[in-house]
Amino acid sequence: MRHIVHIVTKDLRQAWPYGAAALAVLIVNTANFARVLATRGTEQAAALGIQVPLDWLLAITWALYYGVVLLGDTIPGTRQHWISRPLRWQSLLAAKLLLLPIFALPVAAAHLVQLSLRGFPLADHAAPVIANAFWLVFAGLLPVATLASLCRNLQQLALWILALAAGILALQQWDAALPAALQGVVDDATVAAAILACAGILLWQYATRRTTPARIATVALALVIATLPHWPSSLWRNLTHTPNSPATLAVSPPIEWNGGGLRIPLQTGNLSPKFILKRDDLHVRLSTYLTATTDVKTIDPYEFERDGELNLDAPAGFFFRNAKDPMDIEITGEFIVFSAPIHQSVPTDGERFLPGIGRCQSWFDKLQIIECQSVLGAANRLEIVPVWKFVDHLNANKFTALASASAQSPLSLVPEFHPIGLLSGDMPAYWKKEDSSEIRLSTRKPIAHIKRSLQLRGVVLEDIPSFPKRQTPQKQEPAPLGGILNPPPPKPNSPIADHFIPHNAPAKAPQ
Amino acid sequence: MSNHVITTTNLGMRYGRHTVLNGLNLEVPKGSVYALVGSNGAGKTTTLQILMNLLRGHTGAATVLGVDSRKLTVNEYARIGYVSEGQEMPDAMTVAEFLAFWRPFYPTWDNAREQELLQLLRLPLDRKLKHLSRGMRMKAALISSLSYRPELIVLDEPFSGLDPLIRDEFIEGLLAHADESTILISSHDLAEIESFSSHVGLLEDGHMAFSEETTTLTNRFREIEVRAEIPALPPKLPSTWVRAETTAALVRFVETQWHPERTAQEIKEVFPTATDYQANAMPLRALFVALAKAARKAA
Repeated sequence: MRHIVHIVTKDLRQAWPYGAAALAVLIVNTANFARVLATRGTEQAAALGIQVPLDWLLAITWALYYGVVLLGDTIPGTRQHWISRPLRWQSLLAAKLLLLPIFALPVAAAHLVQLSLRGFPLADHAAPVIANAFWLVFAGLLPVATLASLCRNLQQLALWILALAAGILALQQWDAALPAALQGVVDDATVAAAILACAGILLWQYATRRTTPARIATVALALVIATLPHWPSSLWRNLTHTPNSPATLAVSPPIEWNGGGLRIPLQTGNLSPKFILKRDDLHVRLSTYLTATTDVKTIDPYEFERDGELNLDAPAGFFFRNAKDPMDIEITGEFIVFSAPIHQSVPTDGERFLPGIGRCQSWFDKLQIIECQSVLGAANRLEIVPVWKFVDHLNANKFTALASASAQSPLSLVPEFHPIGLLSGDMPAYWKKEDSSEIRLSTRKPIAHIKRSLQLRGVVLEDIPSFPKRQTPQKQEPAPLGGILNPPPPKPNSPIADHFIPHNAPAKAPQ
Repeated sequence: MSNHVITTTNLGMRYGRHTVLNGLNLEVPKGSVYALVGSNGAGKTTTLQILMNLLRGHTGAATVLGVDSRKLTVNEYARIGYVSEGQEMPDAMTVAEFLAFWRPFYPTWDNAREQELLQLLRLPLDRKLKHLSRGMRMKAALISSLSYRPELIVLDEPFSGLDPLIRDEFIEGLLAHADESTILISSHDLAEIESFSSHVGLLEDGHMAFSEETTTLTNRFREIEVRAEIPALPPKLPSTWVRAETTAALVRFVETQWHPERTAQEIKEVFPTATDYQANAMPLRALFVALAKAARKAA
């Protein structure tokens, strides 16, 4: 232990300019966060504008600091001054890893400041925030440690990081076609696999200094882990073809082209009466494939409710207006069918109590958090926290905000993220000035996923007689962000109305 | 433990298809100053790196301080001082920081010896290593490797590129404080080490061409000049003669097994018209060059 501390002291002393730079960026980052909260108008916009670059700079400076420290005692090669000395590799590695909790301390302090600025009582949240800071630093810098153990200098390290990042990003462009509900589990598995791989290579490299095999293993494992989400995709596709799979509760007839638009229908006859359709994914997917011909706002849900009654036998789906001739384009749409919303109500008197988090201060009397989706089969560990600032819509008396959410499977291998660590989350939230509703949180359990892919290449599709034609589409108000929890107001006596809590409903006890 | 601090048996090493060591047998007696010599690429550095467990030989075995070189632990490293050419040093450290860093790792670190070495080698303590010349960095490495009185000092081409003054200071520092140590030093230039090496081993094509005490070696080799008018060298010469050549009335060769009577007899037999001959002692450097050239010619 004496030697470990001795090495740590040496490292901190040798790389102090880099440490000072990293600390300075952390302080600037935190100060800018305070500025975002404390200001309005252009000053706030300016602060928000540099927040993302500051976040990147923060990550780069800490990675650089750690890289410099690690490369102070390089592993590859046979001419290092320490290599034939009475220095155990275990001590050297332990000293390098001991720097991670040391690095986490200022990060935790910065998070506590941010938490405090946001109105969270520090006494309640210090422990999870500190734990989260340790976890973030560990997860963020462990790959740096692994790559540094394969490199002889900073230039090599930078090249390795860039090359691997480019490779992983390129692989991520390959659509995994994974159901959103399963994504959390796969993300967990990916993160766990990445950490295990990093730790394994790091140990191997320090113990054996066999750099070439370690480099080959690193590239191979990076490829495997980057493509990990694609494996359950195949599994999922197989599951959807199994008759007893929950996914077969819903079926999708063929896509229909009627000359004026595309219908991507969904047969809902086998579904439970309590269901809701999510169309966000469809937005994304259609806009991805048809960016040249359409705007996402022209996709409308239709026909899942007729004449004020939920018609379970009627096909539902999405109608894609103003479509150009779909020849030679590929359309891929995804429906996610959820079970009924489970609403949770929270007090609105200034402070908010959110499940799993604690108290949350809001600047507005009313805040509606939309779109809280849990991991498949694991709805009991949902965490939601509103973050950032409300921003005026330019042309409406509405506000939007960003909220962060984290949902993990109870069996997740990855330590739980505390929401404070997800400061840059991008889950949409929505608030309307005239809306007097209380904060509502809802979790929904996905019960079915249907993915359709149809290539229209020089084929004229015939109408399907049994499928009802859509009425002339009417101009609709564009859906607000996260629109699924802002459906058109349910008509009285409609079964679906039971699944949305009235605005004046009494608050329920937090869970 | 045997009387040998280092032994290798049939040590083999290759890089890809290129064989660097081919059945190397080496024995370094305790208390000796063993000079491992050979031309560039002969495998000296590879040998030392295998001994220090920085590389693993493909065949054979090596023991250092009685321990298999592949199983060297911190206990053995605490008894070994290793300095190599082009050693990567912590550039951001000053000399004082560098020595202070290593001090706690060696139970036998001798502060008095460290101070003596610092004075002897005139090394500025407050200067960062990156601001030191190559020779000064080698001195710093040497001080950090001698201050704990290692039983074995392994030096890999320590004089390469050093100016004569620094080199002499380096040798002075080495010899002044290595009296109780065994020293294994590799070099491609015997002139640097012949003054203080007690044993010499010539590494050639991955194996040991010879390995013996320096005095025996220098006694064994002579450069012979024979005055004899012969049109050409006879096709068959004694096998102990190498590098034989003739110019006008002079025949010159290297006798590798010098014995006054026997060599004189052989000269008379080969060159009956010889009128005179002279046997000159050879410096190690000349000896090494002669052998290396002979080996190349034979190859």
